[in-house]
Amino acid sequence: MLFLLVLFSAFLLQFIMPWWIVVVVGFLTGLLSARRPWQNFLIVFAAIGALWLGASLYIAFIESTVLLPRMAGLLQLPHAWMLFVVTALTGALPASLAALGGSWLITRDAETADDI
Amino acid sequence: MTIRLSQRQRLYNAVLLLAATALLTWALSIRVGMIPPLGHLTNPWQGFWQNMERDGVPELLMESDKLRSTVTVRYDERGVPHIFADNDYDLYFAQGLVTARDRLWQIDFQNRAAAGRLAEIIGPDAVNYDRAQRRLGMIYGAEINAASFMADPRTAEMVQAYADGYNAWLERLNPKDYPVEFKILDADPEPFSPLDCGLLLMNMSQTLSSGTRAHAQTNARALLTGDIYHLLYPDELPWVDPIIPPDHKWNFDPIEPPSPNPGFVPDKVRDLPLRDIDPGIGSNSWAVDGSKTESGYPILSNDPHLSVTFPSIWYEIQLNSEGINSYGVSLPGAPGVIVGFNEFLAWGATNTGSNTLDVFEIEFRDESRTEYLHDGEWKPMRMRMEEIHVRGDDPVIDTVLYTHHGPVTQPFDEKAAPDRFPQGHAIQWIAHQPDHNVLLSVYKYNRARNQDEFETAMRHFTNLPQNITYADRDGNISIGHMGRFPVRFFGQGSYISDGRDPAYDWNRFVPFEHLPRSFNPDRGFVSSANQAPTSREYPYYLGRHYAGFSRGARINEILAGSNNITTGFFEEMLMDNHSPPAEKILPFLLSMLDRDGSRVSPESDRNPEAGDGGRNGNKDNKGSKDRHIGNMIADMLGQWDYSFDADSPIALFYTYWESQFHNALWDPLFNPIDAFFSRPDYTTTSRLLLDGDHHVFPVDVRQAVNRSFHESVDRFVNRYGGNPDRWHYGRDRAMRIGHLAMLPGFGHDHIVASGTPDAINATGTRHAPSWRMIVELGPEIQARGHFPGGQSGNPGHPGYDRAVQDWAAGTFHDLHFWRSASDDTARTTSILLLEPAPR
Repeated sequence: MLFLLVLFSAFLLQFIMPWWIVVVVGFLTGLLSARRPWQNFLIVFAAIGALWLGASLYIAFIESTVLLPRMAGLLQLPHAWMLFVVTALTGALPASLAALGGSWLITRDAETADDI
Repeated sequence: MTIRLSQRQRLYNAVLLLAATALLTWALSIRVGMIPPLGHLTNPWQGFWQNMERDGVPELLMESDKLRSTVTVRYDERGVPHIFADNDYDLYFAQGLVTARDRLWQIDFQNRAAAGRLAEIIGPDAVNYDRAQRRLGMIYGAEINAASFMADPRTAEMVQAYADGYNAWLERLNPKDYPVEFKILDADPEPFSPLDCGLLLMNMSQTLSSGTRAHAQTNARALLTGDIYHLLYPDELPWVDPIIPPDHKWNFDPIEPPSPNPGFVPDKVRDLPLRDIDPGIGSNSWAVDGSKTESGYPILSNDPHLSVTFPSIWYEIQLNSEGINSYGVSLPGAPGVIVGFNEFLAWGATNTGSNTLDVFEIEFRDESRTEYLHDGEWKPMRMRMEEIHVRGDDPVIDTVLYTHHGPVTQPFDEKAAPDRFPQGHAIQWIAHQPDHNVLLSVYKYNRARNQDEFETAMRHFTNLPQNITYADRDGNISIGHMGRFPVRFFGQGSYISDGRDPAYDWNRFVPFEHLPRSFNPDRGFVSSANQAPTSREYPYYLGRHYAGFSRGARINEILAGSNNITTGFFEEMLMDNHSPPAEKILPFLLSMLDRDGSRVSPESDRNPEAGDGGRNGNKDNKGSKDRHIGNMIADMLGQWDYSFDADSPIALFYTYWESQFHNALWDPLFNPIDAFFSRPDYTTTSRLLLDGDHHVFPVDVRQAVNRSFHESVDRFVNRYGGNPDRWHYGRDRAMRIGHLAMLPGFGHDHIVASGTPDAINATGTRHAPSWRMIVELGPEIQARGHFPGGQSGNPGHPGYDRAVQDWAAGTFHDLHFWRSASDDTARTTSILLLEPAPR
């Protein structure tokens, strides 16, 4: 449920806000979600990663992909498909780290500490 | 494992992690060095994913309150826009809009580069480049150009409409729609102003007419003894067939040039590095009249050779409105059709080596450099402040001194990036002269209906001197050396000029009626390939640095010997890979080559650094193997037809050897000279060799031939292996077309193309035919053409580089020339409708 909430709120906000809105979404998730910090981290990572991966796959499916090898050349990636990974990670990593930080910020006492 | 943390520790970790996350987010939002802002760039909603487009051009309806009536733009299957408007303003508004739609980033970047404003987006690394551009007077010249075209109501409307259309397109874009290069460079596009059009013209002037060898030539004259100098640098290159046939009679009284002070000896230039001068760009154009064609109608051909890049320097377009129906290629950033045709006539252009930029030695009164000597008087310098904004740094202020000739181009403290000109010198450049309006010429020749109207248009073709080829449906052909050229005494401008002596000033110009022209010559054809415009009989001195004989002689030989010519014949001719200079000199070189290896053995005479030194096995075996390969290569050269075809196994070796041989011949003479110079032309060298003037060479010619041959064999075999079945000129020379901003990955590597700069198909490594066009002027104009790129400048569009293969293979496309918005509608693939909106 939280996964879908994060995914859809980020999806909608992306249309009007710059890319870093996913970091804000991640942070707020960490602040507001009662789950354990590392659970929040994983959920946000998966949701934003899936969102960015899904959106890039969708565009690659409906539009021409001639840009992908060119961008891969520019970013010195050996294979064009790695752009999907880079894209998903660029969104997911800062967003999920913000979720973890947000969760840690509001954790009240030692009893709710994480299992690592 | 379970970790128990105290609340304070946890808070501390949270703040630390959030700070690190904020830092990461920030780092992904900015460009670090040339690493793009990855967060913005990869975001599927705003980043490069938004620049991925499917093939074709989307249909679109747009409104603008600036339009006077409806404009219909029909795109054909190659994405060429055909604009149908009913007044000039709407026509050029639409041209600005459709060009911005396909080439927004290119125009923005080109103009910044021309103006010396790259540091604004690149950063401190570009300051030296910008400074050199400012010192060349690029913005100064753009202002002069803009003042000229804004003073004429026709060109003022043309440029303003173009700018309005460009800006109308820009205004409807969101940042996510910006071309991908803006996202990579983390920059924003700027609106287009008339000054930008002036910058585009300056950009073309810089490309086409900023070349000078005055200081190189001055050094060569000063450092070599008289006899040797004249042999190495003759006033005219050998074997050249001039543009105007040599038997042409000049029936006018020429204006007498002024006489300079004979005592002037310019200083040698020592503060520039040793280097040879880029052989530069060239072009071909020719036209035949009906007596030589199968159809009985004239046919014109043009292929301007410019540096080929993505996006292409050209944008194909048709302009149709009241009084104009013209098709051809335009320059992104300028209104009108530059090279093309209309319903009555066609025209083509080639560049000229006539002197268009003079270098003046300046005598300053004192260290303050506020005054300089001219005509016996101390005259005040004008100063122009140039402020260069730098991304991530403080602005750089440069004060540029201007004499009445023009700017003092090199600063005195340090050198600006490209070492173009010596310190303490000013330049006078045709691009800086006031009251030139080349756009009025474009405006008029796009609309010309006959030879007289074309002539009238050519009177304005003054500040971008070109050889203009012409053919019309009345059956006329002509060629002219167009431009405004100062009346010069012999040699003026080809060496450093005396800034003190008014005889060097540009006061009087060759009258239009006296320019080298040829109308309907008896031979039935006209042609130009950047060679000298005239023989020495022409009464005016124009310059001395023209292209060698190769392409011009080949074109004239083919045209003179051909009848019943068709457009298909010209398609083949444009792809002709034969090298006349190789044909001239190779038999001589082979005759000097010691085939059995006894006179100059590879072991005793090879440069030890050049070969692999016998690493692969025993020296004697390698020696005999080398001799074997050497003999085999010599045999292949002996059987070669001098044609630089892609599949030739031996053509690339020839280029290796030619270059090695010239180094072997000239290095001993020139390397010890610590001064800026240009080496003798290859064809001059060939003439000296063939005529037996071997005493001018500092080395034994036979030894140079053999030594360079063996060195070349070593290098070539090291690089491409010893199996001739695998040698392939087109593949091995690795031609590539790069991106305008040299973004890695955005060019096109490994283009397999025939051709060489000395062939009609002058496909070099950087410069190549940037547009090939053939027009037959019958009752219905038939035109074919192609260029190495595509209409779309978007690297995410399949059309970005689509035509490269056809261009390399010599496959031409029909150019659809429509008479009206409803003509041949089946070929329309997409429509852009521009409607006037209520104001």
